Amino acid sequence: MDDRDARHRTGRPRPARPAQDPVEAPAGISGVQLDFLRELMNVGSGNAVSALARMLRRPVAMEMPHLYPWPSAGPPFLLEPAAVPMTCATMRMVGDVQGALLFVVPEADRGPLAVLLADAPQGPTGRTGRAGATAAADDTPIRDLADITAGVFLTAIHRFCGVVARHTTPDIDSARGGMVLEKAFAATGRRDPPGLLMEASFTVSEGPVRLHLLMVPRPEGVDRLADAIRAARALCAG
Amino acid sequence: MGTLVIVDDASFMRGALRHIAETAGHDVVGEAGDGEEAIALCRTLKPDAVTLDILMPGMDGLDTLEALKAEWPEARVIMVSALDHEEKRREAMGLGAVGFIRKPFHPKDVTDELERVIGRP
Repeated sequence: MDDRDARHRTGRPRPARPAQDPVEAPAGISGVQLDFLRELMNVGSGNAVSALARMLRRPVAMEMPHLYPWPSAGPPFLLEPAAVPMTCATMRMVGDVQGALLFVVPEADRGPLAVLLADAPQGPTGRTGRAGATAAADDTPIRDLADITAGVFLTAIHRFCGVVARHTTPDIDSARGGMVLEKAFAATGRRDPPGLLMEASFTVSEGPVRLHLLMVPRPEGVDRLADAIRAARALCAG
Repeated sequence: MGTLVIVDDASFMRGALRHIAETAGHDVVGEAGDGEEAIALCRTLKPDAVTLDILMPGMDGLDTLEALKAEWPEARVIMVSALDHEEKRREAMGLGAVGFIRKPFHPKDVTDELERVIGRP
């Protein structure tokens, strides 16, 4: 076995990643803005994955974040015809950027996740640890994971570009495929489609367990992010 | 003055790092948007240090680090990443990285690390 094989075996789960986003840029968003928004997701989800790894006490890998011109395109795991049921923690975003955040756990991953959480004696937050069978039927651990992941994600984004956004308490529900996106749409509080969906996916090496974080900003939230881009570019130009 | 090659798939981030490094007096001699380009640039430029993003499409930062060190063992590589858990740092250091900058960063985080690795400009 060469070094690379050993590295993968000992803690670097590496899901297949496309070389670039599989979909076209959302309408009205320039290449520079896309570049910035990808980096924003990279920073936010990179910090979130570190928090997940600490909470679960196991290596967690993340894929390159994807941006989709929703509703004309979206994450394949939600849109494929045989999309499986998901446990979905829906949070509204309030502040400079309004919209929705969703923490999504495919039902097939919920049991293994409960086992991982139960394995942490005090649970991820010190208040949710319990036996696996009980935890599998209990929403509290997923609510806690969603709450902390979203908080770390938004804090990192604030430190990255100055945008202030907070999330509401996660609302746990089950949904199948595209209905997850409908929940996100409803949480943005708009009748017209938001136009941009940003996805970060995580894989806990043990299990493995797949987790997804979706950010759906309202159009004016994208404008606010664009302001942050301009400010950041001014910084780069000195 | 130290010479530097910046590797990041986000042009925005390359611009930010370039600005911080040049303001501090370092000479940014090249930028690359992916691992293959980075290795080719370093082969030619032999910079005093390389800043290397971990999460990049295609050949990621750790694969790039491994390939770069295999070709040029003296390369001084500073990883730049939002992935900040200890396991990732250990892995990078095990592959030969000499520094780590966490995103999002303050300019001083970058200048301190550059000074530690390649000296004061």
